[in-house]
Amino acid sequence: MRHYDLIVAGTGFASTFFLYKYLQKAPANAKVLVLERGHLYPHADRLRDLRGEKSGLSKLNPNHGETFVNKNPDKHWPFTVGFGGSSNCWYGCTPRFLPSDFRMKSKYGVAEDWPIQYDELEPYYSEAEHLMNISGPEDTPFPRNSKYPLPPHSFSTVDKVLHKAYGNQWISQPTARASRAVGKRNPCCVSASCSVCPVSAKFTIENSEMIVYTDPRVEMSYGSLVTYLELEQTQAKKIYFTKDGKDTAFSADVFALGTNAIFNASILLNSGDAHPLTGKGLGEQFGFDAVVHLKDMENVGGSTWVTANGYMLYDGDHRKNFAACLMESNNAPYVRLESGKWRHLATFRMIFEDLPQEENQVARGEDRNKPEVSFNKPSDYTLRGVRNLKEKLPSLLSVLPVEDIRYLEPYKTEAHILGTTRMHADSRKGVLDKNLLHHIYRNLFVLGSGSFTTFTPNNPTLTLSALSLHAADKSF
Amino acid sequence: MKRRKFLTIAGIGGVVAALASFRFITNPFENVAKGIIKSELDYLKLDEEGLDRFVADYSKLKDRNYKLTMKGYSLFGINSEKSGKVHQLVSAYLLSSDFFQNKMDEGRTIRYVGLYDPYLRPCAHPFSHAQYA
Repeated sequence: MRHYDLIVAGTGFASTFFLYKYLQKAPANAKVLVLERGHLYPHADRLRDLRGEKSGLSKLNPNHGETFVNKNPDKHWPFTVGFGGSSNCWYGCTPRFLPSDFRMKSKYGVAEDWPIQYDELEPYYSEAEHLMNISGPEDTPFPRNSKYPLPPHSFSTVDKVLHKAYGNQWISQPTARASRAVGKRNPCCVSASCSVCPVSAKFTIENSEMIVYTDPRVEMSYGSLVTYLELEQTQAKKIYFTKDGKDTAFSADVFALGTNAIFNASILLNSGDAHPLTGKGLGEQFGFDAVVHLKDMENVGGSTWVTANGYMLYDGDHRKNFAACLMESNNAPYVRLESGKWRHLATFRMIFEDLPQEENQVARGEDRNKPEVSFNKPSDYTLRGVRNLKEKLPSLLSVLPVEDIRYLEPYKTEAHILGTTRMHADSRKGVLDKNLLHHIYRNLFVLGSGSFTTFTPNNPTLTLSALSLHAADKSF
Repeated sequence: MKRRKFLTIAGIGGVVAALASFRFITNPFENVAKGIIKSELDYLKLDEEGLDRFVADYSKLKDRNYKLTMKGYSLFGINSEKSGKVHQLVSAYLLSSDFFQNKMDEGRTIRYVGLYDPYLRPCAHPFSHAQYA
């Protein structure tokens, strides 16, 4: 049986940033195996398919919907299978969390505190932002010890008014949609089709210049579906996977699961993970659009898809009672169908934090490779936050010439999968410790946003990438 | 109500319902879409031939369920105020035309230039920094 120093499952953000740091610290003769369920479906071929030119590769990887059983069809859990994981479908929003997001229990008496705090993560936030060449502003509501690598995107006319009124509570959104050409990426030109960026402005694992998967110490195995781990007392011993219809097992000193919060949990459950919280607490944010008609004011000039983030209803003592809301100023090419008022409107996406609820979960399915995913509804804490927003928004937007505000139906997803292997300092209250090591199996890392202790309103990718850098830096 | 009057009203109602159903089934989506766009933008001058090409191109992107839904909306007079799908259709037409290139000049005839598709024509957002520096 082949033996490795490290075996990693998955090639998305969580695995890539973990490996990046690990390889900086590992000896020249380290042996690493990466198991990727899918294959590389290059960006150029994705574009070809979207133009209708048929690359022949569109069926290379399974559609995400075929890979699990969704018990609630009104709730969606999108992701991308294949090399680079969901870097191939994310929209590139990278705000940091606020320091208080990590202290929900001690500050607001809600849910639990994270075992890691903002100050400890700050250098890794900075490193992740530099690796992704994030565009962002000088002044932000969260503290930073370094500047963003790229200048901020341009505000729209509406954002300028809101920024003037609210200062660093209304900022140019920190984003991995480049504001200038950098490396293999072009500047964003507001195509607003970010899942597959038409001009390759968005950071992906494929266009990154992080030398990870071509490092001579790393052996890649594509088409390798991890099924379970052999767990023995406090250690993971072997990893089992299926490739070309054949089951194979390899051993390693250390394992890292970096698939996603559905499949990391599923692999652990298939392995007989003894922790009672594994798979429990699945969740994400809750969001909807507010469409605001403006009198005699054009909303123009923004240089990316989401031009700004608003924090006016985010942090404060209200979080003792109801959820924080992060606002996004959405600059898609919306049109108002009224003579002379074609762009007299603004669309804001309102994104609310949620709390983990144990009945929302990933469980073993009849087919061990197709986990069952159950989600009931957002918490009352979140829905109270929605009511607060609807009360406060007219006053907050009174700096604009508002004609009317209309709320659209909630989205079926915010496209994030969180919380199935949550971190906690107390091994009874969480599956992982602050270094993403399993509390029971001490050579097993479980990476990614499944580790999130609570579900802040922010997009998770930057934070999960920083957590991977931190975990590898502190552990090797 | 006398029996004869009731039967007359019921008969007329039946004929109207049958005609509406017949029209619902036989009227092609392209005609329905064209009708919706013309009704929503009745204060603008639209190039008829270009509008025909737009609805033909747009129709190729849409499935049967979408087309049936839009036929239903048309039958019951549901407009862009009440339906996101209707709003999206009319917006797609305008974005696929020269209307925004001509700075929303409502006096000019609007001509179709090709489906608004960021994969065929990236960087074409009519309200972005490129147009409004």
